[in-house]
Amino acid sequence: MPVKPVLAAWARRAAVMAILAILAAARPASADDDILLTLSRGPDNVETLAFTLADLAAMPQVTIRTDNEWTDGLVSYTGPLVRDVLERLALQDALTLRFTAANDYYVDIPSSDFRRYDAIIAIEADGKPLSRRDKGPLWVMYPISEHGELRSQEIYSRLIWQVVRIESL
Amino acid sequence: MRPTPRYLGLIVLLAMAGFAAVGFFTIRRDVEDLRVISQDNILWSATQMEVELLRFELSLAELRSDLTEEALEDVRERFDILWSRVFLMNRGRVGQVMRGYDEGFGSLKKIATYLEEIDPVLQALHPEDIVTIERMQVELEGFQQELRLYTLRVVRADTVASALVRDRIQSSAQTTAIVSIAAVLLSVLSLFLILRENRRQRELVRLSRQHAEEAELSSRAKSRFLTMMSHELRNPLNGVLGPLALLDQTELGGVQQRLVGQAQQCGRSMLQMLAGLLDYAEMQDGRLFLVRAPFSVAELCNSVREALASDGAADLAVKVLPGTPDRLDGDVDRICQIFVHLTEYVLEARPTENVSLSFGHDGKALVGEISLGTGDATMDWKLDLLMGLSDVAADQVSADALRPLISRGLIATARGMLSLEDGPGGRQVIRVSLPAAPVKSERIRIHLETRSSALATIYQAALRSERVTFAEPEDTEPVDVVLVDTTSVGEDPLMSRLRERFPGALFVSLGLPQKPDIFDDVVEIPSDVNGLRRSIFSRVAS
Repeated sequence: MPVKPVLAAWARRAAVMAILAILAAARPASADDDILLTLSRGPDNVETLAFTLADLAAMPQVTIRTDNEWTDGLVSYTGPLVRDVLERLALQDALTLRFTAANDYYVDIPSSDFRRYDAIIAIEADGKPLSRRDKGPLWVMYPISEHGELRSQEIYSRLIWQVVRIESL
Repeated sequence: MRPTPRYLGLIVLLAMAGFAAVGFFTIRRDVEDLRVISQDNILWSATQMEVELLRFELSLAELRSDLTEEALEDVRERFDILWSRVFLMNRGRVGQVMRGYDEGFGSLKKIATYLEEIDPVLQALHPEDIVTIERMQVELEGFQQELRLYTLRVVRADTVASALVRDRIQSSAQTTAIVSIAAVLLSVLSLFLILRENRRQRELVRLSRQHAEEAELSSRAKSRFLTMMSHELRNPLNGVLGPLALLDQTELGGVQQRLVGQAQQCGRSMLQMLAGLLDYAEMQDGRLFLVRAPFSVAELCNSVREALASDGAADLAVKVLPGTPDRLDGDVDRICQIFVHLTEYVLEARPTENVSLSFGHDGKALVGEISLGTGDATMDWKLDLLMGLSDVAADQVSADALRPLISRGLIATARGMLSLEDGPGGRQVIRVSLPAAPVKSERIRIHLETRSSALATIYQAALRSERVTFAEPEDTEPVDVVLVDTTSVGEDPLMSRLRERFPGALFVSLGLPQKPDIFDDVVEIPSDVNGLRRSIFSRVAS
């Protein structure tokens, strides 16, 4: 295993953790404030699982380098695989998942996408945490540059940013 | 019916390819346009900006009524989201298109500049700073109109783009229809041409077949004529040779004997020519088949030598090269015929002392070499005729060419090769290679059942060879072949006794028996020693 990428990944993770620590110190301590993503399943979505940024940063991180319709050139996005996040609440077997953004925009995505492609919930872009002003803090990102078939309006509509909730349908 | 010109087919093909290319590129262009236009979902981005601006204003209104930190935090969140929508225009392909719609109006730039201005104000805002909140509410009202006009421009542009797509689709559909109709017309034309060409080809095939059948019939008629004539000529010729033989046995003077001898030689030569004619007719008719059987190379050598001697070439040197297998598999009669024809043919141009014949084997084929010394150069055309006969048309065959013709035909039938090569000492070598696999030599033990010991002695002398041994009359050891003279009294009891005595042996009748079924093989004319020998050896080998 190459040493430099591992060190870089740990360095990035350490930076994220440091920023989180600074944010936590600067803002009033509140459990609700830290929750960025909620997973829910079952009838009326009674089963839920909340993720903080620290929870997501603690998961195995994957970096994909890709372009998209909203950025210039290739950008390196880092974050946990969507299928890893879904597995935390056994949502990986759900046929379709609804991803909802902070502005209530939502998109329904078949779970097969996450088995076929290494889509991630990006928390960093080019090593910097995604801010809310820059489509963060969580942005669903597909490896578009690696798979030509992903260059379609349907897939671009699934690159939902400021995502706050994932639920099974 | 005139043949369809090839260039017409090429033109049709090129035209079809051209139409196909036009159709393909037109459709591909329209599909690409559709894809690009459908991706430019800028209307959604524009409306989102309006919605987020309203939500931001709403959050300010709630802050003004609640005056709480939570409400202020909600205002800041809504501000961030609005920011993310407005500043989409700064990056990416979507941003580029958004800026394009704002060209000459600056609506997005104005609201972006305003957001940058109030950003520090908002960060420092106190929940109870009603004056600032109200001022921002008033200022934001103006941007509602700007964004609405921007959205309207996007809607109109979207409408124009949709109309363009519709026009393109309509145009594309028309082009596709025209291309399809043209392709169908060309296909029909091609089909017509193909059918026409097909009919012409079938007519040509029919005519060719008819001509071939006529030629075949003509060839068969000639072959039959040749066969019939050679038969018809052979009978009177035998009628001449018979009396000549009888005359030769009478008391003749030296001159008369010489004349009779010459007449007999000419007669035999003519008989041989007639046999050659028969073979030629069979070759032309496709009825000449080889009968492969094991044979002795030494016996082949003897047969050739005897045949040549009877035709006046007794001094010719014929030998078997060292290392040649004793026995080979092949049609020995035809092989003998080939070498007799070739040798006699070259002897017409070379003295006997200048010609020699040798037999060898190269591992796969019997190789016969007729070595020719230097002779009369004016007769070399005979060799050219021998080697180049395949290039001569059948109707140009001359009397001289009959022997080479038959030889070459027999060599071809045996899948052999004929070549003329330069040998040592300026000699020329006619090399004939005939496929013949070596046959394992086995000794054959024969029991002779004859009515007299004299007859047994005659057969023993005739069949004597290194492969054959004869059992003593009272010998009870197993034998391979039992030769039974059919004049022996009482065939049935004799055969029962012999079969009991020699179980597993091959029983051959010498002469036509009363009951051929009780024998394994019948040699009707036992005086034909060569035939008897071949029959015995081939049956034992099989």
